Amino acid sequence: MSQPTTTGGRRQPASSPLSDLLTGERGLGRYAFYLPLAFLIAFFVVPMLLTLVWSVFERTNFWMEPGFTFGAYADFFGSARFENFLRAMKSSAISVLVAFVLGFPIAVFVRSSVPEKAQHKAILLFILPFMISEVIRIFALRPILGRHGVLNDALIGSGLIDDPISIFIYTPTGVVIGEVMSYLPFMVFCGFLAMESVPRYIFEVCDDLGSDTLTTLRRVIVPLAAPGILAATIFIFINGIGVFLIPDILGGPGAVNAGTLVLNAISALDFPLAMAIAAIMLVILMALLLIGHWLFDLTKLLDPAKR
Amino acid sequence: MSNSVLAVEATGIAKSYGTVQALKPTDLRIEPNEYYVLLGPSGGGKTTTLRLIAGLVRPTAGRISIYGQDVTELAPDKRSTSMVFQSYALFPHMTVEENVAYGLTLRRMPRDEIRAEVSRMLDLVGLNGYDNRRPHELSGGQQQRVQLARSLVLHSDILLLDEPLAALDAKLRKDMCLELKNIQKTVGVTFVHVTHNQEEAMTVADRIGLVAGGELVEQGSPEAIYNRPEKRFTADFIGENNIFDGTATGAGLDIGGRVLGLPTPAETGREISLSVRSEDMRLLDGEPKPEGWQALSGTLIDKVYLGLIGSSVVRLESGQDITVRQVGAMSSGEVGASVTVAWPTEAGRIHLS
Amino acid sequence: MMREYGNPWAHRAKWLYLIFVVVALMSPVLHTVTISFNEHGFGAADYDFTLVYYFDLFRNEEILAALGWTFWLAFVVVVVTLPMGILSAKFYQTTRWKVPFLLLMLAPLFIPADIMAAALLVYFKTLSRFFSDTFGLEWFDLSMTTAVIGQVLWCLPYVFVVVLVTMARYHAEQTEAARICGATAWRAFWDVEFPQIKAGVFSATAFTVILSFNEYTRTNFLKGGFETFPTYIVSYMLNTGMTPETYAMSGLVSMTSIVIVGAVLLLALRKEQA
Repeated sequence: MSQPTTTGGRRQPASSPLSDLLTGERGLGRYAFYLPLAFLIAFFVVPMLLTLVWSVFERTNFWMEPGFTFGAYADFFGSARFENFLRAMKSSAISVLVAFVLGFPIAVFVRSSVPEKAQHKAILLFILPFMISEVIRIFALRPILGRHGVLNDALIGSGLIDDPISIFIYTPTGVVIGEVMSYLPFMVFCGFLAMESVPRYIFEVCDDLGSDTLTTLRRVIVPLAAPGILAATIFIFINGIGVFLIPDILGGPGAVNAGTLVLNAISALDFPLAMAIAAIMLVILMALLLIGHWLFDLTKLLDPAKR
Repeated sequence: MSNSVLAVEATGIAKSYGTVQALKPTDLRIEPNEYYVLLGPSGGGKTTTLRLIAGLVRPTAGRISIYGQDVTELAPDKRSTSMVFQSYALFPHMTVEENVAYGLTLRRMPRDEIRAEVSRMLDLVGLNGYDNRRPHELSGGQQQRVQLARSLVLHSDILLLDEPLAALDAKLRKDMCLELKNIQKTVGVTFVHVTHNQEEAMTVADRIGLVAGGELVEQGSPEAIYNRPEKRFTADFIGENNIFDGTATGAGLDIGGRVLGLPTPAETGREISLSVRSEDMRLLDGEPKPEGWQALSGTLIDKVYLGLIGSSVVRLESGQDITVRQVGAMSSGEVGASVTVAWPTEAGRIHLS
Repeated sequence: MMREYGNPWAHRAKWLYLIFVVVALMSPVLHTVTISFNEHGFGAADYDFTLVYYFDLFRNEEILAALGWTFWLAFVVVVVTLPMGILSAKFYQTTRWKVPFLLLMLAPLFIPADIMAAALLVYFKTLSRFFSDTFGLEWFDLSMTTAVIGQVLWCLPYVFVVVLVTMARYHAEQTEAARICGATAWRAFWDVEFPQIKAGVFSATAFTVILSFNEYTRTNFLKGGFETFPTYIVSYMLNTGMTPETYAMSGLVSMTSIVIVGAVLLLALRKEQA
């Protein structure tokens, strides 16, 4: 047995003092972890909150100056803009409903009947459309939905109709079709995410009890998946009101939503009005998220520990 | 190096997370070349103690020295400690050789020297020829050997082992225990080993520190801890002991109606406990109580024959269950029969706390 | 698992519906790509394969310049977003305020692109005025920098999620083991953790390239002095409608994304089999 030679508790450092200064425990490097937080605060939180301030500024010819006026809000609520805004909300709500009816059953099917290992792969199929530019996807609907488009050709060819249907595009229906095509995958994702926390035997128990599919869906599955459905609903609803591309490309001349209104206000150099509309959108989003959180703890979706 | 310097000296170290105290202020002194085991139930603070020594956790109070050098403020890579983890700690993308060599590569040691050192260590832990395997190709026991080699190769002052055998099956654990002890003797490094397994602790330890409830309850050699536990908790945790709680009187220990004789007198009026090892007890088969023995009557409620040992459980009139373990002979009584348990008075041990 | 006593045809019908929906969502793009290779363009009865419209694209100086800017922008966005994504995932693992931080990280996904872009535009204009009036500096004038900031906000949540999911499979004991072997936190990360989260970082990179490459609204608001490929296509399409050129441009953008996604999936599959 040998008497050990000790190094006196301290080890010959493998790093230099300089590298310690940058990357060591107490080095400058540890502040790097706050960088994303700082970035988000500086370029996301602050500008989004400032919309509230800018919306009450006074409009000048090319810019705005500090002040306190509700002129922009009066302008928004007291004009056709508000009616357009409400119409956009209605059309957006219809899109949410259609996306739910078409998309949610897919999430249920994948969770209940697809082998556990293949579930994520099946869900990932719905990411494919997102990999294509949103603008291109929406523009590409034009030759499909038009009077002489692929859809009408197919319908006439199959003998279902004699004359082309012109309601598919440049109408409110066109906007709904565009929104559903763009946002349906969110319903599938969020629905599935929420149901991942539902053990699979639940579906079998329902079968054993002999409840029919609709009752199972209404009484058991929808309540369990509620946080996911709600998250998708808020997402689709807000984007339906806010993204100007869809009404711009697929809606008729009168198709206007909050995004279009903001864009027009900026073109007209009416910055307080643009910011007022942005602030209204922000408030609606926050309100919906708060209500959703109050109804069903939305953090359940994000925090695996709470599942 | 003078022998008076301690390998590890912790004074008043404590760790709390928010309001939860993982370790209450504790003093710990570990001698050079000692095999020291921190034993205790899970969540008792023993792993926290080990991680404090390693520098993986920063103490909320107190100082830690290794061979006289204050290391409290040193990061884990600057301390002369090595560590074997319970599992998942090997680098899965490196071969066995690369794993063991990792610490030496960091020191920029020449390649051929690293090679020689690594193969010497793999020899020592009995993994000669496994150099190019990947961790997932090894059994649990082999993985722990690789970890041991990776730690030993650094020639650190202290080797820390955090439940190193917990993931192994019972037979393998026994073999590994003896081997750990041998390796420690060979290399002569101070080992600090955390486990919740008594048998493991008894096998390897020069000295055991019992940690529970965030405190170092008691420490001593395995023999002392087993035979002469000072605290009631120790008697309860180590071995299979029967414990009687009561009040000391002039005649002995009053356990509510009955008075038991004590090996040595205790201060009258004080709440104390008396513990008796189950193998020191006997069931009297009708024979009279020998001189200098204590006896209690009860009902035999369970009998198990375990080969070398027969174990019987007796329910006393007070409702307390007593375990009696006897080598060879089993009590002839049937379950349900009235029996008498007895033990020599001097086999009892008094616990003041 | 299939429910053993269920009707197998009902199960197949559900699969069929799932595939149908995916194909339906992809159909406009697939249609566009098909048309882009037809010599006779949209609506013609005949189909003759040609690459002539694509060759035309590559002879157009403006388009080449726009492509150049798009790739340069994507590169800068990747270089900024990836380290930030990794840092934010690390921050998430250590912070006590997990849920609020997660909400903050994901919030930019919920706000419509044009609303956020408008707010950023006004913010940058304000900052730019402040810096030029006070210091005579040209900071935050609409430029590459502002476009990068807008796109990073868009890509960061995705990178964060992908990296976080990969990191969840990593055992932190290995970092501790490396530290105890003498590695600094920095070395331990690069030697031990990074090789094991490489796959996630790689997918995140591909994801970021695609997101940046396709981004239109934010870029259009915040860019200064240059066109990217998407902004060029949109202004072209809004002016002239769908022409053979626009089909080829759309086809080019779509196929770039499809090729990147395909490459990532192939690599992932090969790794799974290995």
